[in-house]
Amino acid sequence: MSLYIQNNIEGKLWLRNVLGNIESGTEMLSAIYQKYETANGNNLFYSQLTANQILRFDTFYDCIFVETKNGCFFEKINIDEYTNLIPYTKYFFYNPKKTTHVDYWFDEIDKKIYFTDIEYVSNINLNIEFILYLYEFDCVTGITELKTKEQINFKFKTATSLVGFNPSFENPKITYNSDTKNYNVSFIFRNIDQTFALISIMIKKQNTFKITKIDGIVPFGELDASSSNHFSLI
Amino acid sequence: MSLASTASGVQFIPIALGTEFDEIVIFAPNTYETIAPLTAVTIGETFFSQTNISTYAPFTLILNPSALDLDSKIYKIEYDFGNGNVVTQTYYYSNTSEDTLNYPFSAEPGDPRNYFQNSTYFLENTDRTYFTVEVRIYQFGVSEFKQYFVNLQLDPPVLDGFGAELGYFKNLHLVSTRMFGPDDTIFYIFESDEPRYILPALVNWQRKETTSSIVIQDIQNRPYKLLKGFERENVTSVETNAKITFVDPVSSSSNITDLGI
Repeated sequence: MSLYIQNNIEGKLWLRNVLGNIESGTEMLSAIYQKYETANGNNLFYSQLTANQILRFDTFYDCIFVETKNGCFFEKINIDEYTNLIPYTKYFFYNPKKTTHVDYWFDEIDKKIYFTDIEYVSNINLNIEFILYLYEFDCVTGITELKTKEQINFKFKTATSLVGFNPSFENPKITYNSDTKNYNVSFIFRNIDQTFALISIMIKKQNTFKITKIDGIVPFGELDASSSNHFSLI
Repeated sequence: MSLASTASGVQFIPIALGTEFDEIVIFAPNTYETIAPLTAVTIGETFFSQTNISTYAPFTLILNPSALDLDSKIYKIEYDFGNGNVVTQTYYYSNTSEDTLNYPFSAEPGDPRNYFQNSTYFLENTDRTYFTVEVRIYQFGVSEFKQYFVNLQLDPPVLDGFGAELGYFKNLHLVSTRMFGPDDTIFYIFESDEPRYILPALVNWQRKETTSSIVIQDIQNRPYKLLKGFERENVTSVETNAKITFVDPVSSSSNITDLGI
């Protein structure tokens, strides 16, 4: 099984408590899961959490990341006097799955996690529109903030096997260069023939996060650069 | 490759379109020999003629001389594949040949027509490349040789897809990226299902180039896990200054505490 496919297959989360006993994630994280009972309109996300249908999980010091097929969250956790795992803050941020599953980057120096997501919008007359999201989770405060919500429009003069077809976007990968303070979000998208194309988005971190450069390899299309653009939705 | 920028919209959007990643394929010599598409060309009776082939690299050409029918017995056949590969198949006497003059083809073991020849072509860059294949047939008692030509036009393969231009890799996915250096060089790691490869590629989008030292690693055992940027075996906690030891993710498959969901 490939790593890519493995990350898209559900499993079950088990944790070892302070007494050394192994319990299901549903039991040990119930106080945290409870915050998400009404986070989704139809409670599907909460149902998946309580059924222990977990896609991915990760930990960063005392913070945890949990993802199901319908969404994900980052939470800072605490331990009460009864050794139960409880949320650090009453606030929560549920990130519903859009077109892709999120990818995250842990800034260990600033103790912040940056995660990104892509939402496909439309493909009308070879004008492909999608939205790039970039969130920041603070491992100290346990708060998630939306840092960038940028709509990007690719207008193609010509393209093979793309007319009237929703291109498939694969899960993005985010990385950070500590030398230049730049973030990069790269992802693959494909036409109806599943031909490989790669997009690279550079994001500069200053007071705000700004897209500074977009590169791409699109063998099946010729871009109309004068009609392509991107703009902030925040 | 084209580089363009515009002030349309709120901000500038420079976009470069290119085919840098085609180089991942062409820098992998000898790897695809067994799965390269094959084409057999039968050399016929009409000489001074040509066969034209247009396809995608890597490509294996097989030359089949069994249809040759000449007045005199064939002494040797020279195959010049145009890529530096030259093969000569010479007639040899065999004890089983009681009457070599009239021994019928193909029962004559030493007849050069019994031997197919092949060569596999790889491209050295992303440009369309042409090869001229020349076959020279020499006969006993005939001073002039016959010639046969195959003209090859090879294009770089597309990386992935199932259209008319069949992709070379199947299910090519991006599994990890790292960025470093003052010029934001990005280290991409792709994996493919068929063939099962990890494809690391260094790309500098500013200079619009890839490195030439692409290493392709065949994956024998899956699943595996790539270390994340902060996953080091020994680090020090920022808060407590205590040593933190992470479980080795590669060897943790038998560890019940790491189920690797």
